[in-house]
Amino acid sequence: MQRRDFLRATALAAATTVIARRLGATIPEGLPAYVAATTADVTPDGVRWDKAPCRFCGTGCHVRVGVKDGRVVAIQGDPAAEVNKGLLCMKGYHVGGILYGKDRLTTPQLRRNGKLEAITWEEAIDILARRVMKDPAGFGFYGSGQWTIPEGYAAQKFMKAGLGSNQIEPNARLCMSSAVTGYVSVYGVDEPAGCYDDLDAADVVILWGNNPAEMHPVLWSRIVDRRTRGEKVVIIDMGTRRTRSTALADHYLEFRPQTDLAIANGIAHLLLANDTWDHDFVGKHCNFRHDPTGKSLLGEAFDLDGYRAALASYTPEYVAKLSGVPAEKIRLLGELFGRRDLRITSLWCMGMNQHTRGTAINRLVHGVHLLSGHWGRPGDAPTSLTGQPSACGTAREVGTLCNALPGGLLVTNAEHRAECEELWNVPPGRINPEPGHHTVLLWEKFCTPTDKGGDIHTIFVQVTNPGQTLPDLNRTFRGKAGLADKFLVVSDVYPTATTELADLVLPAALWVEKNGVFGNSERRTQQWFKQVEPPGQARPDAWMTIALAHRLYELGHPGMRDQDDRFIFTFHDDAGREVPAWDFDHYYDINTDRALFDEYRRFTFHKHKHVAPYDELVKAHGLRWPVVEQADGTFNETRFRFMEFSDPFVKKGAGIQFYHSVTKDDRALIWFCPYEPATEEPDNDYPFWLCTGRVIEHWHSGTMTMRVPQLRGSMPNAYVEMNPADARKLGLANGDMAVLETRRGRLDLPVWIDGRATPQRGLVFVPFFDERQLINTITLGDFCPISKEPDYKKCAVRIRRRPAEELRA
Amino acid sequence: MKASVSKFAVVVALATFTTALSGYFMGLVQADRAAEQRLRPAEESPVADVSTAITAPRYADLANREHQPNHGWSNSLTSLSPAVDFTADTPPLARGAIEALLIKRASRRAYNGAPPTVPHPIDQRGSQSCLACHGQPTRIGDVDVPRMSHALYSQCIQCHAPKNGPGSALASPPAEAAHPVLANSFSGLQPTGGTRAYLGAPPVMPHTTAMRQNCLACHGPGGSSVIKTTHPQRQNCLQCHATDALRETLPPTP
Repeated sequence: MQRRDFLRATALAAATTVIARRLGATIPEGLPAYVAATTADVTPDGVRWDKAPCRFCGTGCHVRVGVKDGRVVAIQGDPAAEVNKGLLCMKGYHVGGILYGKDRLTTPQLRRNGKLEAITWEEAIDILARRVMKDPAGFGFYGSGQWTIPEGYAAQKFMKAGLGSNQIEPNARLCMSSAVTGYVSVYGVDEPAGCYDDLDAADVVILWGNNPAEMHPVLWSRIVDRRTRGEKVVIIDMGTRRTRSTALADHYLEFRPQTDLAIANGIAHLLLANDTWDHDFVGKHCNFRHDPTGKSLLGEAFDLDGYRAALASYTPEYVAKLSGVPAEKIRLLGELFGRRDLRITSLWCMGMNQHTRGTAINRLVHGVHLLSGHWGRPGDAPTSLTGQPSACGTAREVGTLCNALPGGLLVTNAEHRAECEELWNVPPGRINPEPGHHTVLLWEKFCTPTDKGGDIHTIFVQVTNPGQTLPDLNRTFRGKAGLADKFLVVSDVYPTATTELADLVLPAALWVEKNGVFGNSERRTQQWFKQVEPPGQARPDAWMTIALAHRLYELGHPGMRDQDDRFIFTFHDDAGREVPAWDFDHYYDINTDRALFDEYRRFTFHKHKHVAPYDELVKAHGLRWPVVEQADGTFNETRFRFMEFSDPFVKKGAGIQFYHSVTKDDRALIWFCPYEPATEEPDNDYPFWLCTGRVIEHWHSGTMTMRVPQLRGSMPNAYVEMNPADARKLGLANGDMAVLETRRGRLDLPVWIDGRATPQRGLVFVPFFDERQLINTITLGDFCPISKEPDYKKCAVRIRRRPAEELRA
Repeated sequence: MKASVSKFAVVVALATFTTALSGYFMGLVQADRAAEQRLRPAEESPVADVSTAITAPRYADLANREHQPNHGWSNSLTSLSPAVDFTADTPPLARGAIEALLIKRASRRAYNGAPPTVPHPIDQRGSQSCLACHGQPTRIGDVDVPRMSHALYSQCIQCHAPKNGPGSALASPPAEAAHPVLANSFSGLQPTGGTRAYLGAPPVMPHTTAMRQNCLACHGPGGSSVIKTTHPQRQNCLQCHATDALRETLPPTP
């Protein structure tokens, strides 16, 4: 069987049948008329195939969704997608199953006398609107990196331009805000300069506390499959446990938790000591910086001598002592970075971001790349990966954070506020200059009685499950129980740990049951159309926000009007007629996604984050911003930012230009940040580290994937993973029940030894997907003082065997 | 000194081999039997104490040793005597056999085209051992091991999920009882037969060729597959069987 023959045959056949394909691609009944036939095909078995980004992680694979008789029946990896080139992971192949769990929420429900009872949508929106109307300042909006961009933008506009309130946060605060503060403090603007193309060009890939084999499997196979093709790529896994990624790594550097900062400083120390740092690159493109307070986003100016002196103590021997990584391995890293003939890509995700020193370690990894000149060529890149499908697109770019405005602008900046007020056509002063509460604080305030300073009385949760994913749940979430004047509204698709405490539950449309746009880890914006009907009365989250805003408009809230006295969410059809999108019967009369996205697009120009127009996204499998219009009216994406050969905003002849530089001189910042111990380290009472995370089968809190038989079958419940030597010492064997106790609580879990991974001695790992075994009841709520992102990877725990007679707590 | 080092090396090698081999065999026994095993950390319960463990053979004896329990394991071309006569057409399966095979096939995938789940325990950490059986035609006893239908990817467990998960190591009955398996009404696309122009014409492929570049993986002779070819003597499938461009997921033309 010759692949070439097959390709030729396929191409010939395809060429002759293109017309037939187009004719077959009709729009099924129930879908809006603007759903372009051009994105879909119908195969002879009656299956309609349309594109969509996968619903799960931040990789942003495209799938082809097979729909028959109004239901998703099959999934394919999209061969036309650059991200995944036809391949998916086990979650992606089973993404269709998430729509069909038998316990989908299908009607709005209100809790009366402790029981959820069905009510109408009109009642539900009215109840919520009246809570907001009574005290708008005490209303919090809590969304996620799974919000589509139009959904997040609607919520952002509703809060900041409508209510004049900054009490809006996404769950992305819990997963990538340290990456944001890292990028902002180094380059002056958020998001990676490189893209996935770096993975094809790198000679060395360094994983900084990262396990892409399970968390970003398609990117991982993109790297390791290069070896199958005969290419050489050296993989260095720096981690605290041996994982599936370690299995294919050339070097495994096992470090004591928290000491990643010491290792990064150790590399910088060696670059200076060996004089292998890139004098030319640093001289042209970098300034030095430090942060004596440990709490400042932009820090203070520093110089090379100060930098050298600060790093003097980080000798390989000292770093080895702190980290447990042998000094020769530290030297190996220093030597690799000292070689300009190699291209080095660093990857990281939650290991560096969920860190009480998250901002600092992000700065340091950018720093070793800048100092060594491993920056600015394809394959030479410090690249953070995101965990959610639109953490970049919705949380970071739309800025659904308590301190941000769309397009990377800030509420504390008067010029930015004025610009946004003008774009939104709202009166000057509408936007509140005071940042709202960051996520942990928002929920703490919600769980604190009103008379004791708990100034948040109502939270509207969309597309996330804080009842399972907030750290230290007893304090940050469960505290709500029993507070009669607190009101929790949850829009979701299934019952969750969050709906357990909800007063009002709203059934949401999921994934291809609505139109959407996501933004992935490599600045790629991806659009899809609604392809099936949601069950029962489930509706899109963007509609809920618009309907809530309109009810407030009817109740007379002045913020719901713009300067021309019109409702802030006014939509028009092609003929210029007003469309009442808040009335669900008319929501799909026009493509509200298109209207919201193109409105949002105007905000992205200020920081040169030009997203593509909606209609361009329809035609593409995602486009990487900045997407810039050419003289002939076409649009070009940008693969590598700040690099002249790719980025149109770089001044001709500059080579590399950091045009949003903090120091306003087109230079990036090389930071010094010291290693400091974790806020809660193991001690005699609590002698182990507790680390939490994900597994390949389940996505986040398992709400969707635990309802897919193939994924649940593969990984049915949570466990505690420990080193065999530790287990032996504690008398624990596979399947035994262990009692885990931290200063915050207790959880009993079955032990799994040498299973999915093996932690270092003194560390245990528990995945957080299992809603029956909530590990976050015992995790720590401490966070990075700059990014406000909590540390889910490190706290102290003690472990003992559970005696058979002891009942489950 | 030298002798003691080499002796030590032999001991280490033997110990490693013993562990690996017994682990391999353990993995091959029935899932429910494996589930009864409660694996202990090595020092607490040496392999020899596990009554069902297989004594590892000496290297010297390997060549002549009869393997157990998969003594029928075979992947060499000479010992793989074809169950069919390559020179003659083979009769199609009976209707009942076809139905049984289709049910078995459907039980191992969410929809036609989904990566099949893995019906046996696996190494949770790596894919290196998958190819030992799935890389070439292999038969263990009377079981024909499915071959890869697609090009080699390095991470088998990226797409193929074990059907029975980690087995007993993670069974947590109290929690499972409190929250039974959540029902799902997803109904996957089922396979359809290919169309043909007239009686006796070669059928057009009823599926895409993505992930199915190796026709003989599923249609090859000797397999228990319902869709095995009736004319295994012919090697150039695409000479007669046309791909169906209408099914291929090509990017839409602008």
